[in-house]
Amino acid sequence: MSGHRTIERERTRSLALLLSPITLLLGIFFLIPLGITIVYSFLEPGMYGGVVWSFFPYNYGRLFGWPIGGGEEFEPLYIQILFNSLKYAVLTVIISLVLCYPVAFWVSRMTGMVKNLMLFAITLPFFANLLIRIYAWLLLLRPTGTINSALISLGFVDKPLNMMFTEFAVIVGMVYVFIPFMFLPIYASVERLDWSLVQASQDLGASPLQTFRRIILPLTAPGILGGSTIVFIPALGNFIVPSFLGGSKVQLIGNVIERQFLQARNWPFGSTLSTVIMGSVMTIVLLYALGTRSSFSRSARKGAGNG
Amino acid sequence: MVTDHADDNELLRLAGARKSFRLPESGTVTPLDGVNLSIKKNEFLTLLGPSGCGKTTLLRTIAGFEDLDEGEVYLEGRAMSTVPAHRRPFNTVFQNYALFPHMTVAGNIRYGLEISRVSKMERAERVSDAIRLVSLDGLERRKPSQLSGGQQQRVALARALVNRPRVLLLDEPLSALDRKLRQSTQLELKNLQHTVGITFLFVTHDQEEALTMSDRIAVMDRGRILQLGTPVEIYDRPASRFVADFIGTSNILTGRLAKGRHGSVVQIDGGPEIHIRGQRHANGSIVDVVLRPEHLNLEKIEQDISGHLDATLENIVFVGSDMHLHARLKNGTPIIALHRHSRGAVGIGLAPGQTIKLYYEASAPHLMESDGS
Repeated sequence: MSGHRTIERERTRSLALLLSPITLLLGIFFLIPLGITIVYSFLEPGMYGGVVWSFFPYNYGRLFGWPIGGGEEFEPLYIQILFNSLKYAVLTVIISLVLCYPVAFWVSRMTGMVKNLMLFAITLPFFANLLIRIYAWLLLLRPTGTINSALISLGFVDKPLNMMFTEFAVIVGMVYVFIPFMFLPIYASVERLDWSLVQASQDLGASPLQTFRRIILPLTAPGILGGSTIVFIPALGNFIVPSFLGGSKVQLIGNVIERQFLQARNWPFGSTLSTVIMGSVMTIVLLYALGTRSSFSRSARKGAGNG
Repeated sequence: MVTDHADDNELLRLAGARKSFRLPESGTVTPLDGVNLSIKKNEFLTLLGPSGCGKTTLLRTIAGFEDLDEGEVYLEGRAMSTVPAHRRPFNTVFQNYALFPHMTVAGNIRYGLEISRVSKMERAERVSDAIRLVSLDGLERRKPSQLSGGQQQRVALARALVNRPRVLLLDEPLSALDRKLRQSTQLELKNLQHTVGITFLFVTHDQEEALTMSDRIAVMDRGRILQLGTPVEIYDRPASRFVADFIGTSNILTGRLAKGRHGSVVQIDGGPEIHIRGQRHANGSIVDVVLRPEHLNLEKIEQDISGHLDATLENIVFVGSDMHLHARLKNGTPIIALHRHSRGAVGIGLAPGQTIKLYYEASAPHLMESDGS
């Protein structure tokens, strides 16, 4: 009995010891900056950058338009940009999901060296610097770039297509940057899928489509949800892709925040925008998680009587 | 070749089923090498054989998961090769059960009925009947991961049976259970088959399982059916050395048949003569004689024609109700006899090294044509 308790205590101690580095790291480099951001969002911007330590709710007022004062004005454009950024992030998630899901099945069916090579190829972009990779797209998409020269010399088009600094370019760039983050969780869940279940479903009379909807999709849903979440969050705040490939045409919330900090030197307003993004992301992810969970349990309860 | 004549009692027929495929390491494998098999309505037929004999491939062919290179599967005379797996009126109990982990017990059992659009009322009734049939009452809302191996096996069974398949295909469904549970489940399965009146096609490598449950057994090896018959037929009159060896324990001795006026004997090379009765085989032909361990007794049998073997006892193995006597004939052939000790395990007064006489009735030895191996 006492020996049992000693083992228990020993286990607790070693667990605490093992977890302390990551706890410290997160505590120092995540929670403290997060706290600073939230606190700054309620402070007055200093004349030449920095902050003035007095309570100043008008940063939020400037965004949402409640009683304005302190020299700030309500600007509905920011909310518009926020919604626009949401649209880009959702598009990035959908396109990379559609691209990754079938490929994950394809790769999971490969064997040995070919499979390893394929997985290596998918993670390969991580080995090159992000800016260089974005510049590569610049070379590909610009009017005198590779794609346009190829199209012209093959006679498909007369004059170069205008692809640079468009919404299209931004979407292409975002999907390109975030696709490995979508692929890996989906691949992990597809790889774990037990194919004997697919056969069992067939054996019980289900057509391929019914099997997909009722067996394959629910069992790979954790990968889809995971991939979508970790693509959506950074895609919403991304500023490098739109500033390189979108030029002045595509302004996303990330660019606005970047400018508040680096050019306008208005740290409190930048912090406010960051806090609002963070809040909306957390709300969306939470609603999404709750929504999918209840819709899953609902379909499980009623079965697919219609299908 | 196969005739197209089918008797009225026939449900499923395999005609000239052949399948082979190429493996990079071991060359061409032929899991089905011309299988003909007729399965009757409401029978419990077992495909028995060592692993790799083709029995699982045969089952998967019937289920529709594999195509045949040659031959055809007929259900009541209708060819099945163009019917995809999900349209065949067969259901399978898989070896690993393949229960859907994201559905409850009831959800798993309901699945097939939902797919085939059985009305909600009938569905609920059939699901609860199936749950009662396999004694899973009260576990409807559990997930498969919350069940024991035996319970999972019952869910798999109910999930298949609830669809009332024409044939239930069972792919070694008991192999994951422990010995005690396996034995009780064997009897339950047999009773269940009786209750539901569905044809069972059962695959196993366990001869005891096959003997216990089956109406008929098809013994398979290397893609062929070696013998098809009732458990008693297969046990008492094995058609070949392989069958005799695979089903139960056998002493197989090879010798020359000599017919005489006072009964026939088989002269074993460098060994004894074995007295036999009845002889379909030609005088002087080389035959294999099968003597089951339980046919060899330590006590003399009061019979007109009987014989005995002289052997040297090497080992006495105690297995509970019985003792296995491992002995060796003069010509070096090992032989196993079974001794049932009705008066306690001690005091049979035997020790290794001792010479013993093993008596048998002349009707006991079973003769097979020697396949020369």
